[in-house]
Amino acid sequence: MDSRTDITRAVIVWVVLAIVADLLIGFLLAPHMPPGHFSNTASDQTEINNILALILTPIGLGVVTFFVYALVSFRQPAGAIEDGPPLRGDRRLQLGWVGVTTTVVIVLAIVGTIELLQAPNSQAGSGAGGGQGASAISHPSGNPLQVQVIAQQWQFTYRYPQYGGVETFSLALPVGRTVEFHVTSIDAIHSFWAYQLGVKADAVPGADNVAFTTPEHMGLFEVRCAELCGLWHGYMYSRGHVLSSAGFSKWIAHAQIANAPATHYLPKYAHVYYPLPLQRGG
Amino acid sequence: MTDITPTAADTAELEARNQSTAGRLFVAADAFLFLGFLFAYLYLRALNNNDLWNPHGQNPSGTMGAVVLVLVVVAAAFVHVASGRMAAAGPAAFRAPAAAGLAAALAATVLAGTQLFRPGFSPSHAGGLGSVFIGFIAFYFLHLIGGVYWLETQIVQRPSDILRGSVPPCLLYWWYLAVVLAIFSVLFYLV
Amino acid sequence: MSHTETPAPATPAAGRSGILTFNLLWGLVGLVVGYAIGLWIGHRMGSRFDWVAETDYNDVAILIGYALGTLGYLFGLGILNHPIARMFGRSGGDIAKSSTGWSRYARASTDHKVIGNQYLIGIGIFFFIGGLNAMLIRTELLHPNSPTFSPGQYLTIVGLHGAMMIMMVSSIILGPFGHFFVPLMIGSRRMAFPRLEALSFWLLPLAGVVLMSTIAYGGFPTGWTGYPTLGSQADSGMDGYLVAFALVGIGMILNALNMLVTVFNHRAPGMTWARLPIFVWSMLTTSVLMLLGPPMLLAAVVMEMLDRTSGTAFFSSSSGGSPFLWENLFWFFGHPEVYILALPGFGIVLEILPVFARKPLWGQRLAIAGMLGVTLLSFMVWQHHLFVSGINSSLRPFYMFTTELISVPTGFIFLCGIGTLWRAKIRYTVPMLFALAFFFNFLIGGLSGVYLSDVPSDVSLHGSFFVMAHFHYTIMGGLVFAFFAGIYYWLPKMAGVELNERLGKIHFWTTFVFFNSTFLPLFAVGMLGMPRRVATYAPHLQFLNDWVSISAFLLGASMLVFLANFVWSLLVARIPAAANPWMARSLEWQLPTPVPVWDFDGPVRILAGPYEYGNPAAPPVMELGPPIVAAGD
Repeated sequence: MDSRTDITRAVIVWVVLAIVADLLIGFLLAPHMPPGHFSNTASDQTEINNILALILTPIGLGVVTFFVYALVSFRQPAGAIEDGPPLRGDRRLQLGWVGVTTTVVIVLAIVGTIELLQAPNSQAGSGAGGGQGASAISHPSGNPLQVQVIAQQWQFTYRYPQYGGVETFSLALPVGRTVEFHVTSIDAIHSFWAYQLGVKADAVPGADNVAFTTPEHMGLFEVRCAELCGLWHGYMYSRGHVLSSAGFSKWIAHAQIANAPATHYLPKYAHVYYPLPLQRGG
Repeated sequence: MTDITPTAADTAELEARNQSTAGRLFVAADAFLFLGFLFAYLYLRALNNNDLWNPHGQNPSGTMGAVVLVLVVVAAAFVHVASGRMAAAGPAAFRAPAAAGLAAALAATVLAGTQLFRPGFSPSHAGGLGSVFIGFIAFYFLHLIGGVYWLETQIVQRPSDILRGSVPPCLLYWWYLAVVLAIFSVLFYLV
Repeated sequence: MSHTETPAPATPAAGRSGILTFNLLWGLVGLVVGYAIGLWIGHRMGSRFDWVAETDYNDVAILIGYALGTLGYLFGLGILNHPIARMFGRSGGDIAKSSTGWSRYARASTDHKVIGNQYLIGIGIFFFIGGLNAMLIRTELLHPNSPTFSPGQYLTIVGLHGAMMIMMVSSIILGPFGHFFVPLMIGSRRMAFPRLEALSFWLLPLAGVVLMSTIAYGGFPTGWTGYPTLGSQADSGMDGYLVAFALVGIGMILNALNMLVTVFNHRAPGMTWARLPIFVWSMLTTSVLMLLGPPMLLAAVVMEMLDRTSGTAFFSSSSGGSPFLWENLFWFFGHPEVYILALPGFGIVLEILPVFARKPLWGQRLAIAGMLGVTLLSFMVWQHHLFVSGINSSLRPFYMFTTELISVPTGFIFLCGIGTLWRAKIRYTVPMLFALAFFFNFLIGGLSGVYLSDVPSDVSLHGSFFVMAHFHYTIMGGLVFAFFAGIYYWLPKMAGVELNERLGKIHFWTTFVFFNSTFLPLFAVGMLGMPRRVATYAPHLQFLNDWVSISAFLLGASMLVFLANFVWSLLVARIPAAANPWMARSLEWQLPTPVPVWDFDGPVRILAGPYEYGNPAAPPVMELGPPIVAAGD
């Protein structure tokens, strides 16, 4: 059997496997791909997760197919040790491989960049953790709901500057309205991870980390700290609610009244949150 | 002891080559260390968190810095002269200028130590610039100690082929130290 | 390359022996004494500083203790004798090259073969300690919310596991195999700087001791990444972490320096760059990373030490510093570090494949280009660790691109693997099985890396168990599998005894199956929202976590199979190994087993490349000149 037959066979096996795998992924896995469709950013991430799965699975299967084909077909006969043919390389094949892998990589990078900067589901692109201050590249238009997320060991506090700076321990958001998170910390580095919303932004002391999302369904979502922040890091989680617009207005009005005595003493909205973190302890 | 190198004959030339390769590689690696401080300087200066990059009165003394820089350059120049004399007139001509270089190097080390331990401001209220300065000068102080040790071992050795091999990297190291200090002096005292 | 006209000495100078000479025991005594003195000095000094008086901790004392302890340890080992002698113009105080008996492993030696074996034992011990920590972590995660350990204990375990594996085990291939075989493979009798070689090894166990001493101070809470501000507020265990990382970093730099100079200057005549074995190429590229990455780490570590001791503000944003400074400096080292772990693996598997495929290495130049490409690119990708950290978002497309680009040179290695196996005559020995499994594991690790390089995907996956599964696939599935391939392949030469093949195959299959069974589900766990380094998780993830934990215990048990094999073969059975059991062509196998003290009897001349399988016209790989006798013999 010459080399060409071997390659043809392996390619056929690979193509069949790749089609089957992509069909399975497309119809069985893709509808359930995390993180789901709770918000527009989550939808974008789900979408790119699916695209990557559809591209990468055939690549992986190709490599595995050729390896397994070689391992099964080209065995040393029992009882003897023979040398194989002294093949040292094939210029065309190597150049072709370099070309194909580079193309795939460039395509992946372009897809990722488009998704990052101008995702189909959101005006702002799907990258959370938008950096300090407003980013020139991905900033949504309109008047988003601002929420300052203040992380400390081992709790998140949420602050609504547009509602008199009221501070709450629970996060509530109105459905369908773009939210602009300003994430910061007063002690160690934390990370604000609202899993279902597809938002993750590190909370770094002295930094204002901006992230956008628009919740698209009402319901509960989980908030966890995703950066090791000390003793009770594993216990730094809570729940947030996405409410209807009316429900949110009611909730925030109630919170404003309930917290009025405390709000009075709080500083104005600021990037750096006082009191200053202690150098030690805490 | 012939224990490490099989014979003296083989190794003089090879050892010289090894030392010069290693010297250059070490400088490359070490440059990355100071690059870390250069990055810290530029990064913290650009961020200027809470306007505390350079709070008032927390500056290292420029006069002291200039003196140390001059001493390091003088030391490197003396080693340069010593190395040139050795190439021209043999190992015996190495010692006198190298010893002068060592004296300048020792003085620079003592003054750099003063800069580190008596910076003229409290590091705990120093802000960004003061912090980078303390970190830099701590490392630089250690580098000077290493350089003084290296130069001293060259001087006290019996003039031999080994000496010939290890002088060029030592010279390279001293010029490298001078260049590093010159760059950071500009950053700390001028801009 | 004129050094080969080298007479071998008649016999190595009889090393001083006995317990009263410089050895590990006195090194440890020196460590304790130096530490005590340093602590005393530090307390005297520290009491004058208000920032020490304000806190309960005197980090000044602890750091000075560690520093003087290091000096005492090196002095006790005899490594400082020569530098001190040089100060007085003498050249004495050399470390003995080699002595016989087991005690040579507890003493500084300048024999690259002894050092290789010392690395094997030393790193092996730390690897098993790190592995035990992993078992404890998985024990904690058996249940979503009823902890086995207190939170402090758990963080200590997590930190020690990470630090142990990343710091101590990072040289698991360059240490044992690099030091033992690189000189042999290039036809040299030694490394370029044997004393430096001894120093760089002995720094490693010291770093391990320092790292474990953090337990006495309550551990360090930051994991192996040591992020500030947590690192600045942590207890004194953090000082040990910093010192250990600094020691490892210094050891890496010295190691790399030595390795690079050796390969540049000590190649035998005829060992052209084209004939250089691929394993040596991998050591070369790894050394470039080890030379240029760790200095950044050292800078960062010293900044953190200064923040902790003298109150500087490198990482404190409220005083003019920034935690991002650490993140940048650390990952500028940290990302090359993960390729420090990956490249030696590439080298070993591509070295082993031609031997058991009986074919030349297919596309050798492409493989070399791949390694060089990885080396270059790995310095340009570090900010992908900071995608969600809040740095300037405009940088992200660039780092996404460079990160994805790195899969191109990595792909070369896979093409060379397939090309070598194609139409080959494959023998399924234990080292070959591990090498093949390397490709499978690294493939999954690499493909999952694409998700993490893609910013929108990474937003969800960053800091989750997905990341953890990804780098365990590349490091455990890559590096550690390659290490086992190397140990089954080369131990017959290193220790002179055969390993039991049946136990080896049991070890392989259990490791391979339980490795995948442990880490594959963790991709799903991460995607479903479980962050790293937590002691609690959502109850609906319990089934997956329990599956993973049980698989991990079985994976741990499979390591015991290896340990049993190792101990049995080395201490009990002791079946002498043939000089060239695999019928390999490369240089190290042409030497007798055990390898003579001076490696090559005569001057070496290289006649052919190491992978000329299937080429009947190829000359033997080397010829030896007439044995050289020392003058006095």
